[in-house]
Amino acid sequence: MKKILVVLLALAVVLGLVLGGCQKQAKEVKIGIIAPISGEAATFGESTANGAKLYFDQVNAAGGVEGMKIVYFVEDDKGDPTEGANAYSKLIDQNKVSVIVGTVMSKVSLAGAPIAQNKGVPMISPTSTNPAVTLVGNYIFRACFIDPFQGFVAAKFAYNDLGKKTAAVIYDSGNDYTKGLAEVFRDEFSKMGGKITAFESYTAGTSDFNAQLVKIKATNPDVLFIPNYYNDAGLIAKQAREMGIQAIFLGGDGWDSPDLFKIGGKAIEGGFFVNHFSKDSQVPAAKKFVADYKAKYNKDPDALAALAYEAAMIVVDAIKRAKSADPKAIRDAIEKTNLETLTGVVKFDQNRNPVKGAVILECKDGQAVYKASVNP
Amino acid sequence: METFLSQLIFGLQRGTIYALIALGYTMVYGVVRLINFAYGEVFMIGAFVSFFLVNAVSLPQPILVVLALLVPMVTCSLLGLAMDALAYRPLRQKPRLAALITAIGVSFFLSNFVSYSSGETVRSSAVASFLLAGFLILYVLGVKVLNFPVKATPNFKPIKFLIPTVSLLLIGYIFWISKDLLTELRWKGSSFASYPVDRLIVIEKIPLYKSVYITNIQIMNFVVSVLLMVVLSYLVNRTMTGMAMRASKNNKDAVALMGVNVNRIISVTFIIGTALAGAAGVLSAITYPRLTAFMGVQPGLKAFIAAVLGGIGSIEGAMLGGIIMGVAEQFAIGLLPSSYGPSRIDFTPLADGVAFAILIVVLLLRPQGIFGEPPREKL
Repeated sequence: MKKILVVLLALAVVLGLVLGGCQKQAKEVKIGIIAPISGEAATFGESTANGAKLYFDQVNAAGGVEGMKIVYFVEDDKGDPTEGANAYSKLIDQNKVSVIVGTVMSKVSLAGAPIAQNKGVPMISPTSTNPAVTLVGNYIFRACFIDPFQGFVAAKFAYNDLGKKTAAVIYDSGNDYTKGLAEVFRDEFSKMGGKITAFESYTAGTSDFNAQLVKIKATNPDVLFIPNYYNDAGLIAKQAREMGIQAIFLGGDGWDSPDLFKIGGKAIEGGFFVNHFSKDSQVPAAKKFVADYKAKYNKDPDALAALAYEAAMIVVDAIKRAKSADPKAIRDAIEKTNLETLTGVVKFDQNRNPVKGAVILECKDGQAVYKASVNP
Repeated sequence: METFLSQLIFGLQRGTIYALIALGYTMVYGVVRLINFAYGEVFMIGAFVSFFLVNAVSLPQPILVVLALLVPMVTCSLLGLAMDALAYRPLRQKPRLAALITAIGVSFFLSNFVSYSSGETVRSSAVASFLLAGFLILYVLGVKVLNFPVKATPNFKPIKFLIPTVSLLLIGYIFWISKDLLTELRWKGSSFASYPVDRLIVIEKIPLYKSVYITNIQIMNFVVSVLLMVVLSYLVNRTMTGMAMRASKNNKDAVALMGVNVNRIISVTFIIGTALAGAAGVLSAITYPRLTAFMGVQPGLKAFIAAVLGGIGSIEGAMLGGIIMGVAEQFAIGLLPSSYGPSRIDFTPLADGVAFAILIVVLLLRPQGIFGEPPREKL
């Protein structure tokens, strides 16, 4: 009797070991997420990480992708190019990820992209709109439209929809994103027949924009284009109104944050900005996303969350088609993406930019509400 | 004309804030010959204290405005006192360079402390402090119990390690509890806070000349700054403490022989200087309602240059220097051509350099500054 017990026990141990070993071999695919969770664009980082995590968790809950469980690692780039480059190196060298979703700000993506390219790990930035990002190499993709298109949409909206003929611009001369947008807006608006009355810059970190605004006020423009991130944009709008500038404020996707209203207060009311996604979207997939996001994080998703979710969809879809966790195979699959996402069908052009439309949102009663759609 | 007038008003607005911080630099330098680089950070902490206060308390507006200004001033002067006692007093007899480098360290510590006290990093800072304290304890135990040979410190006294260890444990503890505390105070993870100006004051525009406005906030800034400067002048020129302060400037040893407690006078100087920097922080937060942990770096530097421009050690000089700096910067941005010209070259970023250009010119032409006394050769 005792012998039988011992044999049984030994068998159980062996079986346990074998099964345990099997479980360890159960496949997983490692994915990196990089976002500025702290730093000057912290709400961007939080939304981005939340959006991507939401989709990966949903995929895991539904049994993973191609029999593999998704393991994700989140790194904080603090909105700083140096920190960003470190985050890329860490994810690739230490965590051995197969693909990276990230990061948010163009200047940081530009610092990380060469690393991903050299190590042969595909990355897809959810929101870096500067054209130079994907030109780094064939492993670099993005899930959003690019700055020239955004500047064009803003100029077209100001000239055609609002019917305004004069505009002034104030931008951060040290930031590729706001500078790029400002220049495209200036060129497109002039081409349409409008007049740019002032084109003022400031250096990052200032809180006092009065000197530039006094100059702008003297030219009396109909529209003031402020293609900066929400915290600068809020302060500029506030100081402009306090000084008596009556122009309509117009901005880019950098405005997309509840903090815009916290800082800008009444001054920002009646302003418009170009964006990737509206939470009022009627597309079924988008409606489901908004509901899921709200259920999990107890707040409405912004465009960054939506784009990160889309980037995650593109990545998972590519892994599904590649049927492996090999970075090279995933890259090839991303390139051939033809996927129905939240904002329509996403395909990549030869520069690995998706072809998709934009929306215009209006700042009304402390919220950004849908105003119009603009297609390429 | 309208443009000129507006630029002048906004230049004065910038300048008063520089002037208030510059007063702190100049007073302490006058008495102890120390440039306390941490004033920019005191400025930042003043803004944050006011931010937490205004968010946490609900009182009628006039009372809240006074409290929002006074409480940070008191907090900052306590901070100044602690800064002097912990960082500078132990180095008073050491070469001046040691105190200067310590001042830079204090400045980095304060800004990073605030920066890391948001979000997830709070707890890891706590762990780091605990580990460091643990290391010190192990070190002492190692030497005392296990008899590690100590070559560098022949007269090894464990008591010397008591204060650093206890303060590290305390700092770690503060970090550890502060996450919940900060969450309660609505300072959540995000890197900047927006100052709730609406709770303090309703912004009103007062027409001045054609389309030039002055806001009630600007008037308040001017009034508060001028009031503080008047009080300061009275304190320094008309009271016994002020007399002792001015005497310490000339000869500390002689003052000590007269029965004056020089360390007390230095503490008073620190209290006044930091209180002014705190007030500047609050005024700045009300004017530019965006607070970050590093908001004090630029104003701190500019104010230092203002103090040098006015003649470091001179109170009138610091006031004038601050105003000159603010107005000069404002007009530099206003007059430099921006990139929408035929040349498409943007000159506005150069305005940031105006402050430093002024510094270079002053150092070359009049190193003692506008009101400074020329350096005397000691025989």
